[in-house]
Amino acid sequence: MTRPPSPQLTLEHFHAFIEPAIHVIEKMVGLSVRAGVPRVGTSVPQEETVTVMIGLRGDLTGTIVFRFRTDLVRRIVKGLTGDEETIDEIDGAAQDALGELANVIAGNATGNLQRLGLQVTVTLPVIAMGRDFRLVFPDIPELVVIPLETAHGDIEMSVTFAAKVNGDNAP
Amino acid sequence: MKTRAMIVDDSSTMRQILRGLLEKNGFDVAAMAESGVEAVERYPEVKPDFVTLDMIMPRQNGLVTLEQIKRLDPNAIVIMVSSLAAEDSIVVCKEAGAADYILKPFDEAKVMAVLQRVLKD
Repeated sequence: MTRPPSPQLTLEHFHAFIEPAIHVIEKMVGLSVRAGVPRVGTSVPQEETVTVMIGLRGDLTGTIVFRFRTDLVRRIVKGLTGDEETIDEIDGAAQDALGELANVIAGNATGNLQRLGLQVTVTLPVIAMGRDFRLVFPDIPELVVIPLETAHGDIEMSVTFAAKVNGDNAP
Repeated sequence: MKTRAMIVDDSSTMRQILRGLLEKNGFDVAAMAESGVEAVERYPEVKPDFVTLDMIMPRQNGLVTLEQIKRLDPNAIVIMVSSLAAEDSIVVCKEAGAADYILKPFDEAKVMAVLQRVLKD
């Protein structure tokens, strides 16, 4: 299959992530999800959050970022593991669960991207915890934030990427 | 005697999910490894009837691990269990000798159907 050297990024590329996010969270966690209105820009969380970042490599390079509020983390981990015990702290097990959830969403998105003619693979998740910090992607200016709305609050999914052109990233 | 499984996944959450699913369906989870390197080291000693193997892992990915296990035991039954949905990932694993490729998130019926088929062959 011949791939275009400089694919135009369209809404379809963002939908490649939205569809698996909804499907995976519903199937693995048991939470119904609706995609909210996307916005361009970044946000600084004013409350404690767990942030999971996964790199995209290949015909697209960039990052997919998930931000979970800590109260929602408890609901998600319980849904993933079936563990009925209340989580008192976001420990290694909880971080692992969120990393795996993000990994499955990003991995599933690679199938949609391939159907758009793009070969992409994903990196291992990186996790950050806390509040009042800003994520900066100096080489890729556009950060698109897609709220994933659940009955227990929103999960913030941000996607930032650029198509590869002759070995470089085109902003 | 129960069919013996080895679960290889860097995520403790996924190991726990798979272990629960397999034990519920009468399998003996003989070993769990959190890396491909550990899986290859322990494979000769454990001698499982089948392996479930993740693709995206630190240090050594699932494809390299698959190739090394197949070199140790050409008859090894290795089922990839991965989030990577791109068709080329599936093709390359099957070409390297994977018995099947299960996409995460999976459901129990799918996993059991695959196991019934590959263990019967």
